[in-house]
Amino acid sequence: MPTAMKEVDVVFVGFGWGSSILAKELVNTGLKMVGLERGFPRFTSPDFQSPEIHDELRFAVRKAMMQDNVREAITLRHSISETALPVRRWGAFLPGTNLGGSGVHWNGQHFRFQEKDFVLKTAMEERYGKKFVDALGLTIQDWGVPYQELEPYYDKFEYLCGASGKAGNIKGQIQPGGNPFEAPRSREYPTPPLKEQYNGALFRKAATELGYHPYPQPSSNLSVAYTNPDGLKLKACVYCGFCERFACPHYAKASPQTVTLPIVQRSPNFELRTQCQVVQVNRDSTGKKATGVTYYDAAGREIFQPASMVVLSMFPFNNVRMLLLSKIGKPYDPQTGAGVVGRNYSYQTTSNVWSFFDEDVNINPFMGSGAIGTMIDDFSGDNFDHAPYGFIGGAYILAAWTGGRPVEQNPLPPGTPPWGKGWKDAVRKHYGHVGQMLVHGTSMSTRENYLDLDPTYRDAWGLPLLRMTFDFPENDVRMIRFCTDRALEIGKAMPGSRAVSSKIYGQRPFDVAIYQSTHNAGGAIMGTDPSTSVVNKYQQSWDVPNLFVLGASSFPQNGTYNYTNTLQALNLHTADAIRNRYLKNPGPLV
Amino acid sequence: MKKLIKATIAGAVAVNVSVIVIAQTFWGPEAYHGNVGRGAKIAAWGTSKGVASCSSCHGYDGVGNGYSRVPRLAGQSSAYLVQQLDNYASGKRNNIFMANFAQRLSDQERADVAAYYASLRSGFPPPESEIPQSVLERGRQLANFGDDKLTVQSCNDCHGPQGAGEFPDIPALKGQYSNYIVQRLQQLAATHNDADLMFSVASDLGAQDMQAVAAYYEQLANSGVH
Repeated sequence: MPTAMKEVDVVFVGFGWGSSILAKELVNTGLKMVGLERGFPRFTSPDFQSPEIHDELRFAVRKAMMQDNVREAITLRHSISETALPVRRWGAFLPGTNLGGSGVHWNGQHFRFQEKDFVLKTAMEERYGKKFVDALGLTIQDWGVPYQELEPYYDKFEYLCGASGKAGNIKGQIQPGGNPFEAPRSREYPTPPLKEQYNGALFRKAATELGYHPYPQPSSNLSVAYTNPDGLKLKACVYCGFCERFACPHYAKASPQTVTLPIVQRSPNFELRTQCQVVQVNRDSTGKKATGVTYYDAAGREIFQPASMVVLSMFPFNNVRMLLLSKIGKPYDPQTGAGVVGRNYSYQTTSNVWSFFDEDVNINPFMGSGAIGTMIDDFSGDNFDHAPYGFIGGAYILAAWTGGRPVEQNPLPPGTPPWGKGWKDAVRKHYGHVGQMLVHGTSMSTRENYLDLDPTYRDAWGLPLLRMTFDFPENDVRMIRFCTDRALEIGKAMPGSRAVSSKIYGQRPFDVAIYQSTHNAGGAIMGTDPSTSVVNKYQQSWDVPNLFVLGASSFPQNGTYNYTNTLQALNLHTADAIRNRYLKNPGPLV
Repeated sequence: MKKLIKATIAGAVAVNVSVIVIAQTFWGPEAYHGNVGRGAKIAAWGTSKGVASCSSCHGYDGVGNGYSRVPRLAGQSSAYLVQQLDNYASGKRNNIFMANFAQRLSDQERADVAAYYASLRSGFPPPESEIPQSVLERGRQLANFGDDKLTVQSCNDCHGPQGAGEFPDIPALKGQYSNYIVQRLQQLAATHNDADLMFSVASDLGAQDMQAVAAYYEQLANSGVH
């Protein structure tokens, strides 16, 4: 028999960005809250300090901040006719673990989605016709919440983080220097953009000459010191070039440790429990009410934590897996297209383009930051006419060096020997003289791409692993080829560029061994119809109204951009609904 | 420093942009190397343009004077010393004595005298008084780990292990006089420049923490608390 703990009002499963921001929003309600985190506690001081935190081998290569896939992996297959195998080393994506989750090792790329992203199906059919869209063979759908409803929450999260950037559209007025394609925002960014890299300056010149609209990438690595509306202080970025896969030692990157946890941990109504592996959401005999969660603590004891409200806020894979393990909602069946849990898994479709310069052009990539790019949105989302091309969606093209780390950040021209003297000579010749662009695009959901439980492989607690069935849809392959060609044109036009090369990750078969993006999405998607979605627009389970499932698992398909800002806007939108409506009258919000 | 700026421009393709660009700087050896011999002469004798000898305050051995808060220069980063002379000359760093001297030094003379003091390996004087162990321990924590409640990162994040400096840009703190470090932190806290990391660090440190971390770095070159 599991040991039963004292009942609380809210139990959070996973304590990263999503849980911590919801807990922060509920901190003054008097609710008793418990956060369950499978990993360890960690804080900027003392855990993220130099020189230990700048260990590329430990954090970037061996991925010390990521989910331990010896204990908990996922399995992957490319189609339903294959047998899935476990992913024993992370490559394409990096799900975080420990307190703060992936919000610790993120790059701070702080985008909003576009207006059309939230009404994708409607908008595409309006512009290109139903026939055009149907022929693509996608299962895209509208989110059930329009951009305008989320705008105040985007704004709120940006001001909590102190995001650095330049507005391109304030209440419909196009702003010089910003992104003219962005959805209208209510005000300017809280802090000005980061300094531009030389790589970005060359890109700006080339993109401008080609008639595009370069702008500074919005960043949650701050350009100046900032005090947020909660009174929390962030410091200015020092351009050390260790954001992605690392934690920020400088208090310069917005993360749970800097903008949510300090508020939550001050509250006498909140308790954090680490090294707690949740294995199930428990329900009462009706099946329509969650009664709490069951977990194993660090000593291996089975514990039942009763709660009036359960919040799942893990990495999207783990949200979906917890629903499936708890038998909540009907699992998706790709044969019939019926069922919802695991449906509409989507990813991100990406490529890289490199420009090789002469040795007297010093790019100095080590003066980097996770979101220091100069970029264009001319080919993002639906910013260009797709009618001639036979695909929908698009990609941003971003010139950035997030750092100049010696092991992983030295691209070499095609044909360079992979080892030995030729390789060493090439590293000496090219290091610091390469321009880098990222092409980062939409991922559309399809009938064949989905998540379910693996029939064979189990985790360290004996539970089935999550199985991913995924390969890039033809639509997305066409999209990324088109956008990569545009990036190659810019690369050739960069002053001093001698040669260009590209690597398209968005092609079949999906290569899980090479890093592409950690923006896994969907599987517990939001919508207006319980037969095609798992949660409503407040991320509340249709089946179990006192269960909320937060995060990118709610996305019906993925947009052009890095998604943290969008999922936090959804979470703040959810928080408002819980605080203002659900607590007064617990039950379905829709 | 004109020479550096020239190197920067020469190496860069002219790019007309409205935003600040991280300078494409070539930190080649000639960019900041002065002549140690010529620098020694300036340090000892000053110049004919009315610059007093640096040694009259900083010492010919570059050890400075703790009592008068004259910082140690021996073994400091030459690029950092040049940068400070430039800042004194331009008024970016406010000190009427040093502004007077720095303005009368040419770019080459600044580089020379910086090279001289950077080249010195002088000994470290003992601290003036015994510092309580609890103060040193607080200083050790701030220097190595920072303080999460203050949102202050460890000083060594940028100043290097044991405050040895991250040359060329970031100065050494190890063995520097504590009263000079405290004074400098107070000055930085008063700049109210949000874009300067040292403003936000210094302004989050209270007087006692400034004393503690300064005392820790001063005794590092001599003693046991590491």
